[in-house]
Amino acid sequence: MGKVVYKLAEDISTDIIYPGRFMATVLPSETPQFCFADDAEFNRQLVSGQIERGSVIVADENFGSGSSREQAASTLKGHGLIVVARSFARIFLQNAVNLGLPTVTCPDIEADLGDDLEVGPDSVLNRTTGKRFPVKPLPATKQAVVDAGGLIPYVRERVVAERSA
Amino acid sequence: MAKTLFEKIWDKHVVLQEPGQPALLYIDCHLVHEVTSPQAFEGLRLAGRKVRRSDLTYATVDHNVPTTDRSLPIVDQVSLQQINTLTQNCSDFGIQFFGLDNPSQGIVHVIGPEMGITQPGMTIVCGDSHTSTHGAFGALAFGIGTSEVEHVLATQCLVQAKPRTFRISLNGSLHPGVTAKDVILYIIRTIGTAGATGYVLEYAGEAIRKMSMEERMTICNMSIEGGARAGMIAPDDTTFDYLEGRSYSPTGKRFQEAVDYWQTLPTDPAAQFDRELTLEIGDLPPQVSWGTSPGMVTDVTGNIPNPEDSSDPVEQKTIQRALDYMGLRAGMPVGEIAIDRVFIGSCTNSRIEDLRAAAKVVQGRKVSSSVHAMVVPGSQPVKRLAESEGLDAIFREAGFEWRESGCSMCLAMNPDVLQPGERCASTSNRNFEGRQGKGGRTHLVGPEMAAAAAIEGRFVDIRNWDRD
Repeated sequence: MGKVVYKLAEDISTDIIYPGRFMATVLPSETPQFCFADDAEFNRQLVSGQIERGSVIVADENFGSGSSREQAASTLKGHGLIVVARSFARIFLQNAVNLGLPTVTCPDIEADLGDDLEVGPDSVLNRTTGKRFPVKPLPATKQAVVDAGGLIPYVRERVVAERSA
Repeated sequence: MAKTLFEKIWDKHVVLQEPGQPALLYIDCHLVHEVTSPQAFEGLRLAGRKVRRSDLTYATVDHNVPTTDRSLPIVDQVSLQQINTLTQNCSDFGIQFFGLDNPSQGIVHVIGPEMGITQPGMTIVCGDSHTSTHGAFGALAFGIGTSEVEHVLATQCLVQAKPRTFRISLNGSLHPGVTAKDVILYIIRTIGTAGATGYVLEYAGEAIRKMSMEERMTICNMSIEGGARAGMIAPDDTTFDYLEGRSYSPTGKRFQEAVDYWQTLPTDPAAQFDRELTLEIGDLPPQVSWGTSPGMVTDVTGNIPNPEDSSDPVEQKTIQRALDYMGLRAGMPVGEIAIDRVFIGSCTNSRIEDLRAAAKVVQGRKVSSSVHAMVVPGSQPVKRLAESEGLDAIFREAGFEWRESGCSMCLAMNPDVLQPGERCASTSNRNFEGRQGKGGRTHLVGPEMAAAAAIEGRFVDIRNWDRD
């Protein structure tokens, strides 16, 4: 179960998630400090550790639009956040899969700040309102990559498995 | 079976296709820049891998390079480190590198076509969302993330689900002063920022056929702003003429053989698209973005939207939030918007035709005293050509800064940024909150509109501009 710690509108760009001026920072161990850097208050809560891992960001359509910067996914993963959105932009979603960031496409999601969500494979239950919303699952091939922890570990696993077969 | 341009290229590049699974696609050309590549090379090193096809991999520095005097040392240590890292990586892995001291250096999406690296029928990827630019040549080109950059460096392949196809046909002739930029802004305004999600776009119709390669690149460049995987235009004589004689183009008999193949690529007349849209653009006025997404666009002769005009409460809120960020009054005429900065540049609009058109607008005039304006050519070849034509002198005499090539203020990684609250007429591609600097306000326009705005200090209808 995770609490909604941030509620966002549609078309949230990767410039908002991870502003361009921090793009020189690439290491997943370092990108979390600049997560939503232009929202000073939310960034402070994240960096100071006030927000628990497993907390949820809820967004409307087209989350992660714009730039292909992978930091936008790694910065969220670094804080252990789960993103539940009505839909995701393609490159961001692919980056999230490739890095093993949990994303949940939930086309009808209704949730407010502070609501408790139970995120399952088929649905999201908003425990605060009691309403349940269906999830559009990732294709099995993408889910397998997420489960392996990302694209590079996934390919490495498969290559090793094939060589030893 | 009749096929679309996209399907012909896709089918030719599938290495492996298991039923119900995404395809493994072969990549013909991989473009690399300094910002999205360091970790990918580090991953290769850690795994003890080589670059599988270093001969199909090309690198340059653009995103974070200084655009000031290159004879001076680089002050920005982060920029210097990124440049040095890519230089070292290219040397270690045997990759062709167009660095700061190379006469071909420039924005990756400007120099690929300029050198003839970009060719019809290719699959092209780059760790940058505006890779869709290269689709103007009838290539399948799209942006990828850093993990995928590493995957392509290691394998020259990429796993991809097959997208659906969406043809946008453009009819009519543009009014003088109305540009390819206005057309693509109008398209995104029409279909929305997620309107082409899951699709590869093909732009077609008489208006496209009449466009130069540079105009076609401007159109394809912003396909990603409509959510599309890629944007494509069928190659024709305009494409072949552009490519002939460029340094990486085939020569002699091989060029003719290539043209023979390229001519087989256009969509077959009987081919079916998953979605079709036809737009009339003959009466299109210049377009200006007013909000914080590239779909928030209106005519230069129009007014800023009023949230109350919408019956949808969600849309009302979206409009109000954008107006608050942009510091605009609902209902005000676009022509009353006063601007502080002008940026002419970016992979959308920094090529020679863009600079020529903008120079024609400013020639013999002065930049408004309230405006700080700059021109950032897309590449060193563009810069040299512009200088040989005297365009730099026209811009300088008018009061513009004339810079070295790079991405510059499009994404505000280097010191070329807006200050909070500053309002910019920009020929770039994104007007997101904070895109050009924290609190910066971006209005997307074409190069002539930006140039006229610099002179007048506000937006004016370029169709009424006296160009002598």
